[in-house]
Amino acid sequence: MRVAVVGDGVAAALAGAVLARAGAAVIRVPTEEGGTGLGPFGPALTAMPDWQASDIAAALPPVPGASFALGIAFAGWAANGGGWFLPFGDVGAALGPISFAQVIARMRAQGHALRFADFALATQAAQAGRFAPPSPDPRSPLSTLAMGVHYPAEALADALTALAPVQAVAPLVRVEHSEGRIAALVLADGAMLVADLYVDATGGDGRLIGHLSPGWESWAECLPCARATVTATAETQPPPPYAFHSADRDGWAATIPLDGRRVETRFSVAGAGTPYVNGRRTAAWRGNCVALGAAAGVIEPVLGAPLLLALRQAERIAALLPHAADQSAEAAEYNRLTAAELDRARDAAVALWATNGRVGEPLWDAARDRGSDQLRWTLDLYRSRGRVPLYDEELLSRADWIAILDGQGLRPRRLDPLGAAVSDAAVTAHAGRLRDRLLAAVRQMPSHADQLARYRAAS
Amino acid sequence: MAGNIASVLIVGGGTAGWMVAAALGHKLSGTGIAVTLVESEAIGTVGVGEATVPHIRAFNQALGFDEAAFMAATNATFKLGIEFRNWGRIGDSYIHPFGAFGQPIGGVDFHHQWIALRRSGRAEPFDHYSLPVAMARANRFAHPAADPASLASTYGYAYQFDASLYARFLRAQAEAKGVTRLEGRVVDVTQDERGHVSAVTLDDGRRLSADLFVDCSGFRGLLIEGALASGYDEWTHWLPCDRAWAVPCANVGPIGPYTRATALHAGWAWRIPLQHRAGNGHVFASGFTDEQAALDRLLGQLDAAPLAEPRQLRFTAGKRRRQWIGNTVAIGLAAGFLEPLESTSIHLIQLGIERLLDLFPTADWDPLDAAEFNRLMDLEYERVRDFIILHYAATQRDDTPFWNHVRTMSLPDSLATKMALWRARGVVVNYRQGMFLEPSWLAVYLGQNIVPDGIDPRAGAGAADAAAMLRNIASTVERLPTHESVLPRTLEAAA
Repeated sequence: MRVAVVGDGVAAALAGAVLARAGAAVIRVPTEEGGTGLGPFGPALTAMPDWQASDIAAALPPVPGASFALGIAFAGWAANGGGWFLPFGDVGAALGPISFAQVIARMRAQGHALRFADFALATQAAQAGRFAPPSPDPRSPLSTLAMGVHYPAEALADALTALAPVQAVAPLVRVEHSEGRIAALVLADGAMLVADLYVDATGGDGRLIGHLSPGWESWAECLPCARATVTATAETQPPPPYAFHSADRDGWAATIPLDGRRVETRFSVAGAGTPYVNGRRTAAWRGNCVALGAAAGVIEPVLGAPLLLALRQAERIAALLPHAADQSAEAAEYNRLTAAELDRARDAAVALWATNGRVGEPLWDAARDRGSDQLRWTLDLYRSRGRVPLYDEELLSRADWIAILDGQGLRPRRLDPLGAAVSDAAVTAHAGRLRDRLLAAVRQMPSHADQLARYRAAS
Repeated sequence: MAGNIASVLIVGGGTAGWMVAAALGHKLSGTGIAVTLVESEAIGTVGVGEATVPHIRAFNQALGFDEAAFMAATNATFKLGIEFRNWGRIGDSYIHPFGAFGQPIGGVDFHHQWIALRRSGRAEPFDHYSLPVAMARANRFAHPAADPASLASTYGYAYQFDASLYARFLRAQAEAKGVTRLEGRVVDVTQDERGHVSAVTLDDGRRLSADLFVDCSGFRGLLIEGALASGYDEWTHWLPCDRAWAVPCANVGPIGPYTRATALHAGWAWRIPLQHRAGNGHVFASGFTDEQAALDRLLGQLDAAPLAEPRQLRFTAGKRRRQWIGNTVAIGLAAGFLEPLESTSIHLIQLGIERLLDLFPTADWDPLDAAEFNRLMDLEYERVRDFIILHYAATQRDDTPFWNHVRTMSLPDSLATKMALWRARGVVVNYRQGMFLEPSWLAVYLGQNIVPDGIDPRAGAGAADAAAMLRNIASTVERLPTHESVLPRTLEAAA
């Protein structure tokens, strides 16, 4: 099975590594256009904790310039400019019949002002600038952490490229195609490359898939930003263990703290910057060509999804590596799953816009309460009784959703009736115990700077 | 904030009604919400020998039931899976176990390796690579080992029991938790101006009102259909069986830790071994055979003489369009019917109960609770339906009009897509929601000779590993006690 992986950045390196490890004979074809293949969002990437749980992440050596991530800090999205934190890992603990979200709702009903996410060890450790890797021992409070990583895109691409033997060839010049299939790739040295499967990791342009499957569903109505501007600044101070995503009148900005560098990407509706369109390809696999990364779908990284999405797509291609020339069954399944996953990841990003508290600003007023039926259902159920419906393809956990909606200031109208069996005093005592345990655990954790120095020494 | 409702009335006893009563009695204890169940001794329940799936253990554990006491009270036996006879072709037999098949070899899933081995003629039947299947065939049973590294930890188990005794057991548990039982037959249902059910009237003239009604009245759906006219999605095109004969007989030979489903002329027969007898029945399609012929076929294949008069049941495969309307939730046969080929009846009751507790209503009757309940239950019913249909669609039998119909019928799109992907390349479609996971689909596909056309190019070097798995299974089974020796030991613990 010969697989040509076309593209230059992380997306191509990731696809190459995953497919080569799955047994395909991978040929990497550069385009010399640069970029990550994950959208024009800059040279720093946030890897959500599920990335870390993958086989490919486990095989990676320490990547120079990377830093640890305990969550994402948000400011300016909710009403009154209030900030909040999306922690990686568990939040709180259930009390008998009632979930931890209900514990919070009960405490609020008693008049206590507190936030759901404050009961995650990740939140408390991030505030204190501390970090420790998650513990496998379920009795340790550190077992409640889930680790994310901030990666410099180029160093990550290099590390991924080194993971598996792949053949490299001259850059792509032209794509030969007919009857809905790629016939060959014409390379800069004049060679014609023919493969069983062509993987398009070239980014939003989709230099291969665009010939076979040009249809693109735009989400600009719900995710209005369309320009990205990147600035990188050298940094001598130790980085905080979280990215910072702040909204303002004209869009938002992501600050990703790498080790030694700070990368800021501004997302705005118009003006200078690299253009992009949030959306997805109507069919990401057609004929003998499959797209991943931004060639399959673009979601600005407000929840750090692009790298994890590309990983899931690469793993999906590996699981569906075709056995024959007719790839229609594989394409149908890839397209079904990829579309469902992208749509739901979009819903999570749109949730921030749909629930924004920036009243009186035209950009934000127009975005409020927009979104898919599935997102509306999610928000309605949450507002009704604090419930989050989970669909088949979800990138976020239920706790992630609650942390986001709680942070944005959504409050369920009702308490869980089954919780009536637990007294207010028991609820208060439970919350107090959890908080004490968290604070004690944070005190034991080393600083992020120390952990990073150790990681750096290993890389 | 919206206040709590004050009362729940469960209409109908039987397995569904008493499972709801026991669960609500337990979970609502301390909330001040009163739970009442009304049933009539005069109305028979459908409970026969009933087989379950491993989720039942979570239900029993959540309610604090002791396993030995529960098994002693319900004449229960252990269950490791279901043997399917004559489904792919006449003479075939495979077991769908509660556990996985083999282990990945060289990073390639076992079933791909098995397909490659089969092509080179070096594979034993697929289900030989499963420990619980080997245990079932050898009539062995032990509780799964606690050590996750041990092969003996890699399976689950369920029970086979007398459903009417389970209802009685649940009744005692429910009444101990403060559930009130009333005797009476519902003859009328009163609705208020919103369309909510406000009260039911019993044959002696008593009126029972409540805030929430749970309709466990069985096929008739006294409230959900009789009063609220939910409507019914019929699935008879795919599942033409619409009747069953049920009859008990004596156990002959060792008590098997598994249920048997034998395909017959126009349907199939179950055999469910309990401690003291075996429950038997024949599910058949009245459009393809007459009742007497069906009864003769059932009686003709019993292990021993019948112990009672055969009883007939009638049903229509499908589900209510809306299982929760206003303040009425239907659970059990009132909510829908799928033939018990994969022992899903009690599991669907359990799911209904779990979802009802998750979405338990408040006094403001937010319609979102019902809408979410219906969305989730529709998904579960449809996914179970597809898995049941698979058994018929994946047949090669052409010996009767019934099998010709099911072999060639058009399938739901959701199932046709799954089967196409399997046939093309051996991929099983998985969902977050849905009770049957990959091993179950593999069991039926490969047990019924549906082998993919395409082969994973990485598979092929697994012969030695696969042979080692067989040896490991054989030596593990040898060390395990027989089901019949474990049963009395388990039951003594209850005494």
